[in-house]
Amino acid sequence: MIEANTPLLRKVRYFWPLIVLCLGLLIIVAIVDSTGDIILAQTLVEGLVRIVIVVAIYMFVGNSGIISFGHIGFVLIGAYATAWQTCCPYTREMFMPGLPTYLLNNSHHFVLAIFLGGVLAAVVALIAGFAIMRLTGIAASIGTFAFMMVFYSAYLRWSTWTSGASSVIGLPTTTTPWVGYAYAVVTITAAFLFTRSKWGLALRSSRDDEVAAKASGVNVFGQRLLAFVISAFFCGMAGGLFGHFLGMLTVDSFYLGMTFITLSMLVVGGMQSLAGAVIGVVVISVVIDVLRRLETGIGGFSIPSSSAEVGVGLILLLILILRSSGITGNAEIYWPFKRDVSSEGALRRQS
Amino acid sequence: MLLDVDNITVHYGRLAALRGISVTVEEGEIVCVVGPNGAGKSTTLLAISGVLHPTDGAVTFDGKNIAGMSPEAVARAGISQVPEGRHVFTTLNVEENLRIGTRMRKDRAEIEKDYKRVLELFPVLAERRRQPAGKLSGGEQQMLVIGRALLTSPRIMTIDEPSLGLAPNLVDRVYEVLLELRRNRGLTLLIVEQSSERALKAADRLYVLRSGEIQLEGKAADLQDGKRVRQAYFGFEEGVTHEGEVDF
Repeated sequence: MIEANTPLLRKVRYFWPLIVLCLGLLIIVAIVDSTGDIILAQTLVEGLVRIVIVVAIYMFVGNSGIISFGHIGFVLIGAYATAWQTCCPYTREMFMPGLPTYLLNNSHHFVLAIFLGGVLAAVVALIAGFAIMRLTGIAASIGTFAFMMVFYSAYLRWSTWTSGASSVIGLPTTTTPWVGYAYAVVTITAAFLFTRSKWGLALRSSRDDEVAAKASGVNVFGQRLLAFVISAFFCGMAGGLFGHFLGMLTVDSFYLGMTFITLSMLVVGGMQSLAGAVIGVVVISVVIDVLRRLETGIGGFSIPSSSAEVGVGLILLLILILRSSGITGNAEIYWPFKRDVSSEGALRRQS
Repeated sequence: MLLDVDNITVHYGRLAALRGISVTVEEGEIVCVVGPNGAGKSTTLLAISGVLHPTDGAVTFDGKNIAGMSPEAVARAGISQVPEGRHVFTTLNVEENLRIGTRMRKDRAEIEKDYKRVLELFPVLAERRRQPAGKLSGGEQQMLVIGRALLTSPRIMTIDEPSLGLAPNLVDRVYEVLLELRRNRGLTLLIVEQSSERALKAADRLYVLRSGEIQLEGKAADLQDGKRVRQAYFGFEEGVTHEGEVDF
């Protein structure tokens, strides 16, 4: 029997929801890595990048209660910003002739490029959020959607920087399973710490009751804007990861399809929980993978193409009807052992 | 004078909900605003707390004009608000609800003491510290909201209908706590109340509000027979209706 109240154990208990998620993913990555199956590894990396996206969306949506249809816009911004710094040094001028001289002649390291991609997304979020975060409820959601439309259309026409409707090809494929895992862990940790921080707490209070939050001195607009910017930063980094996973970029891949898949993952897992965000990605990714394999046919049996999208849609509907708080029921994965309930300990933790 | 609401008018669209009302609260006082449904009681509190902005008149708190400030700025200035209808944060647990109350403060040591005091004041909250506030009973939620407001360390607390939807014994308990807080900590209170009987028992002074105008104001001690209050409250002479039909 372990001593019930050592400082170490208390820390473990506090970080338990985080530890479980990171260890769970570690096991999945290690197993897939050891099989050496290339197709499976592709699915895994895509899943890990989606974890970064969905957890980033959770930071804003889960804590503020405002559904965002626009976060894929930040993924788009981050993806191209990274490509400007890393893509195809010899053909960059051909794909994106409008870039400034510095970017045409210099390449940044993958990690720095991804970080700067996140920063650009965050700066855009700060400016856009300054207007959108003044809205509440469905108006804010529609506002985020309008934001994405603007950036999608602009990037599609801005061919000197983005190659427009055609693709940018030749990004180094540096997003390996372990790189993806590292970014997933960083994002999950950031989301965990943010949710439990005083800012996260204030934001969650405004999600429950905006009037009372304001009456308690919470600057609801400011808290929402902060969360919007942080989540945009991680979405932007996810965009960079995604480009370096596929090795190419098209504006079209960052639009309604990706919005639908990522939001489905969040809703299916449980919108207000970090565990829900991660589990939603894992479950939907597995379902999509199985359906894709069936589409191409296994042992003479095959199902019609596009069945994967249909399957995801049906699962989303079922969850909404039968269990609207998602697989996790909006709960985190709590310490499974008996918790110490002495008021002494609780009061000390307060300080 | 701690709070001075001077001749304010508040409109909902073109409709005037308050027509030039004045209310003052001295430091350490308990002031009640009573009146029937739709009299403008809640509107008065909303105008003080910055949710609504008066179209005319001034709201002065501790010498500063606060009319036109945002709700969170008013809260930061030291007016804590307990809005009508037990606004707890349902998915946050009791402890987190209380911590929201302390987030404007920097005095860590004092926060700790106040936190303990609130738990002593409401032992049931200490027991249910880890439970989501949405799972508490109505009375417990009202205690929680008051506890949260106390933790903002307010100069004055405004409460909208603390008795709304609570069983009579719970209402007694809420008022006991409020009076105790004034006695022990000199808390200044501005309470909106529908029951003039409760108000007469608890308040130092009271205002009777009807149709957006102050009908009567005075020391509770001078109004104890209740006749003038009832007349102001309903707007007609007593005896026109049968005694007993009117339930306060």
